[in-house]
This record gives sequence, C-alpha cells and structure tokens, in this order.
Amino acid sequence: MRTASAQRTKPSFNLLAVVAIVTLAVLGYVAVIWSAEFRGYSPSKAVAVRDLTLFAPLVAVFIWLVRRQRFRGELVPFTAAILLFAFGMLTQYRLFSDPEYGARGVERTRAREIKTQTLRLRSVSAGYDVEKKALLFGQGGEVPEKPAGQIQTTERTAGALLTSVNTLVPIGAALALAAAFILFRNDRVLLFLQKHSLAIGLATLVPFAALVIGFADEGKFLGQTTPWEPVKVLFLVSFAGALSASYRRLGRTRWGLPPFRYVVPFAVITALPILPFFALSDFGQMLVFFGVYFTLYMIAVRKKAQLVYALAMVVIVFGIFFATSGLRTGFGVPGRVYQRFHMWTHTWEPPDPAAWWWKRDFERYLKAKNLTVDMTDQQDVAQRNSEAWSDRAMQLSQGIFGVNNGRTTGAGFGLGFPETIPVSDSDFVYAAAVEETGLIGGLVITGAIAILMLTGVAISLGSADMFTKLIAAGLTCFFCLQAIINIAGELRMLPMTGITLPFVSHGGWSLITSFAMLGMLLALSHRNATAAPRSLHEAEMHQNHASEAVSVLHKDSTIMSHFG
Amino acid sequence: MLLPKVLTIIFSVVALLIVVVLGWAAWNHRSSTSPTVADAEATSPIGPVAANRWLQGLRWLLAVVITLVPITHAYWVFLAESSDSFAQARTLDARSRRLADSRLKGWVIDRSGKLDHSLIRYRADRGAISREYPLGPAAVHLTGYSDFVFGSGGIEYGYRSVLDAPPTSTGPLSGSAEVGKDLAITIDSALQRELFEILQGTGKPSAAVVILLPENEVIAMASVPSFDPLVVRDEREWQRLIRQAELAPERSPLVNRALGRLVTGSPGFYYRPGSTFKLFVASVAVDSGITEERFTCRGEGFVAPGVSRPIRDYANEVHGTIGLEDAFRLSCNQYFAQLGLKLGRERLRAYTRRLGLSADPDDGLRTHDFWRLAQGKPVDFENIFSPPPSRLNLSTKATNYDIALQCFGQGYADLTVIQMAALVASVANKDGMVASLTLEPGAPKKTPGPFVSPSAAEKLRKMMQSVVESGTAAGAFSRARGHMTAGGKTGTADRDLIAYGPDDKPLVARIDAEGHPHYKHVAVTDSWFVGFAPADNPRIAFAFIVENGGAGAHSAAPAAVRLIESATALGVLKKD
Repeated sequence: MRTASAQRTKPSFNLLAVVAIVTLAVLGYVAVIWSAEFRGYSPSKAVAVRDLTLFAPLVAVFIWLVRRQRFRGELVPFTAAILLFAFGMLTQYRLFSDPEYGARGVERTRAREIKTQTLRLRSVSAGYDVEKKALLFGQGGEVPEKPAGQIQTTERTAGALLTSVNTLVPIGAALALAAAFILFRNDRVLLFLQKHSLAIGLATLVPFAALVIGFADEGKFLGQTTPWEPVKVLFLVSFAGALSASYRRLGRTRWGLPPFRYVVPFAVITALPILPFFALSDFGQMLVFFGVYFTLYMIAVRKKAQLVYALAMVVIVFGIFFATSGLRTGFGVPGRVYQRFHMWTHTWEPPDPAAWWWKRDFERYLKAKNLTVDMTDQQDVAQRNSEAWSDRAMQLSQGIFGVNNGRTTGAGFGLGFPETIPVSDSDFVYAAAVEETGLIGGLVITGAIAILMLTGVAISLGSADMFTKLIAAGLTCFFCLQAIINIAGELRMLPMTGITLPFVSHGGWSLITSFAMLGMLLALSHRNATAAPRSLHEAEMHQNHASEAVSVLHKDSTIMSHFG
Repeated sequence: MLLPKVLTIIFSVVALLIVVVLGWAAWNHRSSTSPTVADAEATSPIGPVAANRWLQGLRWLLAVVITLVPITHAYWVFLAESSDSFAQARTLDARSRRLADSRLKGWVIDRSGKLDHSLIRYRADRGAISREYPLGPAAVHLTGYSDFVFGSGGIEYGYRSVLDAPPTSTGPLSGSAEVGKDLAITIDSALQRELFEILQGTGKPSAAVVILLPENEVIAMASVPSFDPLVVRDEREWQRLIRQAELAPERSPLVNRALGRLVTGSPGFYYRPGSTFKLFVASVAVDSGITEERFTCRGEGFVAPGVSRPIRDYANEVHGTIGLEDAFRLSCNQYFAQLGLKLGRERLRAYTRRLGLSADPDDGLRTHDFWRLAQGKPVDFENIFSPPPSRLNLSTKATNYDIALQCFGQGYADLTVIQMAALVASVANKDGMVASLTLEPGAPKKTPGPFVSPSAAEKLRKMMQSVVESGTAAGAFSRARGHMTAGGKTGTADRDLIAYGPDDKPLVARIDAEGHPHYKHVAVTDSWFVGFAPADNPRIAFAFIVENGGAGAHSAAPAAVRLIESATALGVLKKD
C-alpha cells in the first residue's frame, strides 16, 4: 500500500526552487553592496562570497537526501527553510556590513557621520549650482564622492573567515540536519527513545539546570550564545514518549478531569523544561513550551472540556496579572515581565515612576546617564521618566517605525535604517528584514512559515503511531509558535519575549537546532512514505520477532506504571 | 529610482512567487492519505488515527494565527499613522534625525546678494559639509542656531518653512537632492560685523538697530552680550545658557536686546526710553503747531497740578524759561513735562496710535504687524521676530504726574530699541510717513499712514541736528565735526533691576514676617542715542542703548558716531 510516494512534490521541482532562491540571494547581496557604496561604506566582498558558498553544504545535504538516502518524503519544508535561511543571511549581511551597526560610542558616531556626509555631498553635487560648488570646493573644484577619512573595512584573511563562527554554524546546521535525519529514520532509535523517554527528560534536565545555575545571565550564556537550544528536541521527544504511553489513561476522564494518579507524574514531566526556563527568565521559550505541550496533549487526549478549562485558566492568569500590576509586589514574577506587558499595552506611555517593577530601572537609567532629578519636582520627574521609558521601549518603537518605513515594497536592501533598531540581527530580524523589503518581504517570511506548518501537519497526519505523530506535530508547533511569538512581539500583537525567528535569526545554536528539528521532520516524512505503513508498535513486533526476543515494554509501554 | 531598490523588488516579488508555488504544492499535499494501518488498535476511536481530526483543527487554528501576522503588519504600514500616539512617538524615531541630518538647508544671504557674504552657509572641510555662521556671535540674534535635539532659534527657526528642504517622497537615499531654498535678507553683513564690534567696545550689555532710508530696511541689528551659534552643540553649556535665560533673563546672552525677545522666541523685555522719547512729544507738538510755548525750568522742579512730587532735571540742572528748540537741544525734563500736559492726553494717544504703540494697559495689544513681509508670514515668525508691542499708560487712570513722567521717557513708558529706531526713521524720512520696517528685500512698499507732516518732519530733523551740533551730544560728535553731519537725541533712563548673584539666582535683601523674600535691587542708568545721518538727506536711522552706560552722551552717542564713521567708510551713506 505505497501511497505516499505519489503524494509528494518532485525533488527536481524543489531543486529548481532552491536554485532560484540561491540566485535571488546573489541578487540581494549585489543590492546590499551597491547601496552600501551609495551610502559611503564598502562591505566586505569576501564575506559575501563566503555567505553564498554556505549554500553549498545545504544543497549537498539536499542532494545527499535524494540520491544517497533515496528520500521518499516531502521536500517542501526543506525548500521553505532554505528560503528563510537565505533571507536571514542576507539581512545579517546587510546589518553587519554597516559599520554603524554593532559599533559603539565614538566609532558609531563616526560611522554615522560619514554616512550622513556622503548623502550631503550627493545633494551638493546634484542640487547646488556652479557658484556654490566653487565656493565650497574651490574654483572648478570637483565635488568628492565621499568625505575624507574612510571607514576602515579590513578584509579578513581566508583563514579567519573559514574559522569564524558565522562559517561554522551554517555548516554545523547542515550536518545536524543530516544527523537528525539518519537517527530518526531508524525505527530502533525511535523505539529506544520512546521506551526511555522519562530517562531522557531527566538526563537532559540535569546538565541543563547545572548550566543555567552556573553560567546564565539574563537568558544569555557566555556572551549571546544559548547552548541549551538543543535541549528543546530532547524535551519534546521525552514529552511525546510519555504522552504516547499514557494518553489512553489520561483520556478516561470524569467531569472532564483525568484520573489524579496519572496526572501527577505527567505534570512532573511537563514541568521539567518549564522550571529552568523560568529560572532563566526566558519567558518566550516558556510560552513556546507551554503552547507545544498543551497542543500535543490536546491532540492525544482530545477532551473538549479540558480545552475549555485551559482557555479559562489562561484568561484567569491574564486577569490576575493585570489586576496585580498596580500592587507593590509581583509575588515572585520578575518585574521585567510586568515591564514587557506595560510596553505591550502602553508602548509610548511611560509607567508610574514609582511602580515597583519600574522604579529600579528608572534609577539605573538616571545613574547611567549621570542625571540628577529633583524627586519633588513633578515635571522634572515626568520628563526624565518619559526619557527613560523611551530608552527602554526604543527597540520596539524603532522596530515598528521600521515596519512602517518599509511600506509595501520596502526601502531596498541597504537603503533603510535597520541599523537604528538594537539587536535587529536576532530578536528583531523580522523588523530589519521588512524595513528594506516591505510588506511583500513580510509575506515571504510568513508564507514560508505557513508552508512549514502545512507540510508539518501533513507529516503528522500521515504518521501511523502516536509517538511519531506527536513528534511531528510538536516540531511543527515549535517552528510556528516560535515564529509567531517572535514576529508578534515585533508587531506588538503580543508582549516582546526575546525569542529567535527559526532559520532567519542566526543565533548560533538556535540555527543548528532548527535545522536538526527540520531533519527530524524530514525523517518522519520519509518514514511515513517508505516504511510500508507500519506503526512503531508493528515495528516493535517486527523487531521482536526478528530478534526472537519478547519485549516487556510494548504497546503503550508502561512508563506510568512506574509511578502509579 | 536606485538600482538596489529595483533589485530588492525583484528579490521580494520572485521570493513571493516561490512561496506561492511551494504553498500551492504544500496545500495539494496537505493530507497525505491517512496511513492505512492494519493495526486495529491504531484505528480505534482513541487511537492515533482518530487524533487526525484534532490535528486538522490545529492546522486551521495556526493558519488563522499566521494570517493575523500580515494583517497586523499591514496595519502598521497603512493605518498606524492616523493614530495620534503613533504620530507623536514617531517624532523620536532615530530615522528622522538621519534624514534631517542628510538634507541641506537653504543659505541666508545678505543684501549684497553675494554668496561669500552669507550670514548662514555651508562649508566643506575635507569633504565634510557643515553649516556655518560666518558672522558668528556678531549676528547670532538674527541667524539663530540650529540643532536636531535642542531645536533652533532666530532665522533658523522663524524662516524654517523656507530654509528646510522639502522632504521628497522617496527620501535622500533615492538619489534625488534634498536642498532647501535660500533666503535673502536686508542685513549688510559688513556693517553688521562693525556694529557688533562697536557695541562690544562699550564693554556693557548694549543693542542697536540701523535702518536704511528711505527703504526702511533693517541693515544691521546687534545685541551684546552674545554667544556663538555653534555652542548649541555643547550640551552642558547650552543647558546652562537656557537655565540662565529662565532665571536671570536680564543677563542672558540669548536675549536679543534690540528686539526685546529671546532668540529662542519668548515673551518680551522692555527698556525705558528716557529722553529719547522727547522726540515723540516734540513730534506731536510740532505737527500740532504748538511750537511757541515757553516753560520755566526751576531748581525746585516742576510740580504737576494735583501731585505733590516735583519733576527735576538730570543732575538737577536749571535751564530757566526756554522755548521748544532749546528745550529739545538741552533735553529739559521740566519743559517736556509741561509741554506734554499742555498737549493733553488725547492728542498724545492719537499719535501713539499712528505708530502702533499701546496707550492703555487694558487694551490687550499683544502682537501687531510690525514687519513688512515680501511673501506670506512664515510659521512662528512672530514668535521670534515681532518685538513686544511698546506701551505707554495714557489711560484715564494715569495721573498728570504719570503723563508728565512718560513725556520724558520715564514712568510707565515701556519701549524697545527697534521701536525707537522706527520712530526716528518716521521723522527722518522726508514724507514723515510711519516707517514700516522690513528684513526682506523686495517687500512691497506700504505705509501704515502719516506720522507727521513733511514740513514738521523737516523741522524735527533740524532740531535733532542742533542736538548734535550744539546740544547734549555736541561733545560726543565734536571729533567728527566737519566730515559728517547727523541729527539725533540723547537719552538717559533710570531703571531698577533685580540684583543677581553669580549663580544667576536673585539676591534676597530680607525676608519679611510672612516669609516672603524681598529681592535686592540695583539702580541702573541706561544710555540712549537715537538719530540719523547724513543731516540733510538721511540715509540711515538708528537707535542705540548701552545698559548702565550713564548719560546718553557718555556711552551711546560715541557709539553712534563710530557707526556713522563705519557706514561712511563702507559706502552705506552714498545715494545710489
């Protein structure tokens, strides 16, 4: 009953699309370099060549999948991911080639000044008559193209380029995809993971928690890297395993509630990843985990009453949150969360300078700026408070202004001002990208996300057993929720959370993890199409039969009985 | 349109096409045929296959949420601008500054029309273009200053609708030049520089206005102390200046003393005109034909009917019984007090109306069209360049004593230097028409009406000439006698000023029983000189004040002599 092979897009079709995407990327790089020359700086061409070369490992993996692995599944999610990756890399290149972006203090001012002067010179040469030009540049003086004192762009050596993180991460991502594919297409591995899901969860938690307690600072580790990104995959596998083992029991509800003795151990597994992320104050990641776990639970257990309960609980939590925002303490919820909520609801209205979740940051701002405020002078306090809040809300406002500035077709690569948005290379990459490509660019990104969603759900629908079904649905949810929470934060649909946009933000581990998750999804798709429809259960029987062994853990396994 | 922009549009449109094609493929394969699992357990009502219905629900839910993203995006692109809070927040956008900084504002060019005589221009320094004020502090009260954060003042603010480059729809990054229009003004930059140096030479806070006749164009207007227009780039120093202007405006270099306004635009400052105001009373008398009156100037002073306080002369001089010409030449307070009362409240009021002065504190005159403009009035022009309306109190509430005091420029007389210059110009012009001043060359000629008759004007000029030749200013003009002729009137005005400490805070004399502070005051004597030159065919009219400069003949008149010398040397007095 091989039906799936007819149900996929042809590899040649996808390869054509990938070639088109790489061509577009070349076009984009040309535009960025061209604009940069116009604005008065010269981006490194070696980096451009390096970046474009980095498509090679991805295309190699693509061909390896089709040729060597005889891939039978759906390649469209891979193509969509390459499109997002190309868009992201282009945006990174645009930002980091701008000498103003990432520079600080005097360097930054100088870079900005040279860009401004270049435009002024352009206006002089186009808009001034001969007499004025002569007065400015001497009789018969030519208007120079650029002001004196170029910004130094040091072309890095080939060695430095090859060993740079920005080279290694995409290569690592391609390898991670291949590795994940090989692992997850293998029934034995899947079976092993399902059987030992609880152990995997706990084994992941221990080093993770150690990392968190030992090294983390406000959700970042050793300078902007988040080495715990890969634990998402392990937690997902562990949760899917536990859920596929116990969903039948959890489904025996009374008044819509599952039996208590199964709930407690299950709740423990659920809480495993949430606690460390809470400790990290990484609320975006927490939100994603909540969303994914809840979705998987609903898909497996399917109780409408529980859906209603859960929605009611969300409403109550939000209600309590807003009701307590005026109080003097957050009952353990960090002030940053309240700030983010205020920023979401009142972006351009400063909070009460005395609010507990804002007071300290306000004072810090005054101290950093070396300002003294007469606390009895209401007007002075209000003025400084408003300045401090503008400073705090700057990333969000600059992002939104960038979106607005982009209009429909965008300012053009290199011609917008995404360099005025702080950290626009990861958290605010959507805003940076659409300022220069406009609403059309935004549609490309959301469209690619929608494609990942459609194909991911299709793969989940096609999975014959609950474990792989849940993993496929979980991976899809991870991609979608992360993307939606990221973009929604930038567009003020949700509070800002500081989470990356999969495949587009190039946050090192985040990119590697995303490609590894894509590899898992492709493996499950391949498995659906080739494994001569058989569920893991059958595979297990088959395996047991083959090995003449009798498994004690079969069917829905009995992890829960360990607790029960 | 720039090529990178075209490339970008190709990029995003083709990428969108790819997304559509891929999306179409993904949609066609949205449900790979449900696994035909033989396993009865998988297909059981609670098995994996039954989960597919909820999965399909999830798909719809995610589809809806993902669709919300471009909808919200479109809101920020197309609709957000109509919201006030967004528009207001947008003013803080760092992009606005980038764009503003890369545009070029217009130049401000003096009356010669030569670019190298500009008051505001750009200069190129190793390819870096920056806005320059060649006259620096000498003209800063005219040119103003400009900064993105701290705003602008003077012409930079008052004429910004002319100077600012109109933003093109595509922005400066599109390759089209964004260059503002140049502005021509009537100032003579060479004379302006000289005038500023003359005022600086007095060593005191001082101000002067010079008007070219008969065009009634202001060719120089300076105020001391002054500041460099580029000081606004020094945040700390600028904030100190702004703070001082709020606490102790009397000492602030930001005050344009000639105009009586802060260069940043603000409520006004006034001076007592002292004896220079006798020119007004004399004008009323001559124009009304009351020139033969003789009054007596006594040692014990003149006591107005119904008042007990006597009016005495400067340094208790005694002039005896004299006529109008002598009284004007010698600047006799008692004569003008009596003449004023003789002329009467109503007649004086009628003439204040001709000049556009307020004669009644209750008439609420706040602004008036002081300037003649070439085109429409730029936004905020009034706030920067309109002098506060000069005012007297000739209402029925004013006593004879009040009127008598005002007739020699004391008491309630609140005037500005530029208003005094306009008064002199009205008399110095042969037709005796009220001088309507302008800063813009080519402003249409129009007069608010006659001030005095041409013959009265001529008689008044003769009287002013005698002040210079044999009157109060004769000493100051002695060294210039023979190579220049001029007419004028000295003035010495007493004011009480709040005394300030070195921290710009007012000094407290004592605190009364109720805890209210009483501030220390100091008496200052302002030195005035108003006049015109040459005597027979006036080409310039001017007004000078030197704060606390003593008698008019002591500080202001010598400054006026130096001005006439400079103007002669620069060829300003030549008829063309």
